[in-house]
Amino acid sequence: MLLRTAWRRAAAAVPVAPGSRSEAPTRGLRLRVVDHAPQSAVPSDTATAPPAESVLRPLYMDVQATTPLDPRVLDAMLPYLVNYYGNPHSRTHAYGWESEAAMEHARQQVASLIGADPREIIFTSGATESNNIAIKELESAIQPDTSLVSVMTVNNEIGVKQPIAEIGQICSSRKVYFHTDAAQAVGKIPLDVNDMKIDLMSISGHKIYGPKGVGAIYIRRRPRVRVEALQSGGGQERGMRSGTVPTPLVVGLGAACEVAQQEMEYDHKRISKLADRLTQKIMKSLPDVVMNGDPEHHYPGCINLSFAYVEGESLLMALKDVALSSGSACTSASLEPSYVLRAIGTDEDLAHSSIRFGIGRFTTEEEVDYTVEKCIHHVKRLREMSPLWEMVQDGIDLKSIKWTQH
Amino acid sequence: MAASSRAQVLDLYRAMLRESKHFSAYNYRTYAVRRIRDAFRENKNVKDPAEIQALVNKAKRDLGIIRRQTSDAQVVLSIYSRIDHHGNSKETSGSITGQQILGASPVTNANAPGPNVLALKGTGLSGLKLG
Repeated sequence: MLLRTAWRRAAAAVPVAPGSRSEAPTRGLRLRVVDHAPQSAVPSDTATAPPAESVLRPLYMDVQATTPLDPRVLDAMLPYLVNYYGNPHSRTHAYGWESEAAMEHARQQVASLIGADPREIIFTSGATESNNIAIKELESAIQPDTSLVSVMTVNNEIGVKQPIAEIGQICSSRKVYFHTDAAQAVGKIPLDVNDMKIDLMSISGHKIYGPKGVGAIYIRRRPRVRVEALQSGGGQERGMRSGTVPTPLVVGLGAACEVAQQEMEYDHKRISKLADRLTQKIMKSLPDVVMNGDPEHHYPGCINLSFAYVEGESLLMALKDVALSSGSACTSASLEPSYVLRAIGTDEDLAHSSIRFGIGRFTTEEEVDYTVEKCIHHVKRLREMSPLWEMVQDGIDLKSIKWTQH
Repeated sequence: MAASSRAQVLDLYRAMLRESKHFSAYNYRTYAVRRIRDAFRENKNVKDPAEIQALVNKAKRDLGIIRRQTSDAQVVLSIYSRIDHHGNSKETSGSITGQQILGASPVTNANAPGPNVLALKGTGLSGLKLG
């Protein structure tokens, strides 16, 4: 409550900048949006400042949880949200035909990104649904020797890349189905379902600057992989996923895939540079920082660091100007340390000290520098307050301490 | 259509940068400016006229996207950045937030302490310098 009052007081003090569009040629009617009265759209011929993000919020460094829409994606989607609203399964009129054309074009865009045939792409509500379809498939092909290998391509907590091509090779030689959840990998690292011998792949829209609520599953046709539908109904999507395909969302997914294909190399290079910058600066200024995950087989945009003798949650709260996470968003409700960190053998105390930094397409160098500066400052401050840290500085080996219960 | 001349390409470059400065969202604005500069720089030595034309056509399409995304229509849509789910307009957060310290918004608070590196860059007030 106190914070809110402070915000209101400070808000009154924030001046509105003079029009920064003064040099732009006027384009007729211009709306001036005032901070506190969005309804008063005052038509004005004089150029005005772009309606700034007057609600300033923390820097966004949590791209593994979700990503903002790329403006190119929104641009592709809007026509289908406002005007071309037909059901893509309507066969008898132009609304249906144009919607279907958009859906099929999007399918082609998704397929192209992973080297698949469009007929192998089924639209779903997201990677979770795709995962469920893929796993359920196991039950429908019951043979004594059938099994399924399911592996994440890029881990969402520590950014580790699995050796997908090698696993695919092994599965193919043993006639075992191979599924991969590529939600964090699609559009970020090169994937080819044929080179890597992938039979099933889950794709998520909102991890690649596309809309939320949409994804896809890739299902190999040659050799045919049979899946059982999770939801039955009108038989859409070759009977594998009934329900009206949401044209605006799949158009967004398709556009996101196409943009990702074009921008993959540029983004990867830039994100790698920013990631190096972040880790170098932090490691140079702070002792006892551990990067979780194999540094060699690692996607640079996901950096998971453990700061010894600092509690992760308190560091997160201290870094209130930056949107960060420790562990994965889907398990963040519980207070358990990450199962991933436990699995890679991280000490319990280090697991509680981990923070995940996400660097994405829109992350700037300034945001990284600011985050680093704040992180260093708060880790130092929290360590100063920590009795454990004090003991370590005095040369005591924490492992040798016998903690007793009172 | 005549092959794109150097002057036309430069006009396109200028127009794209100019329009990009009108993105009200810090992350979109900085991305667009950065990406445009890097793309034109990367392709500056392309000689094949067909390839140049293809690049110019793509740039024109992207310019169209930038214009639509920064247009009056988007100004109206950006109202939705300041409304909470009850339809009430949100107050500005005057407390020091990360974006404010970066001067992330064109509405810069000159009193914000800390690095204000982007205070001017974000406003589009600085004249366009051709590299």
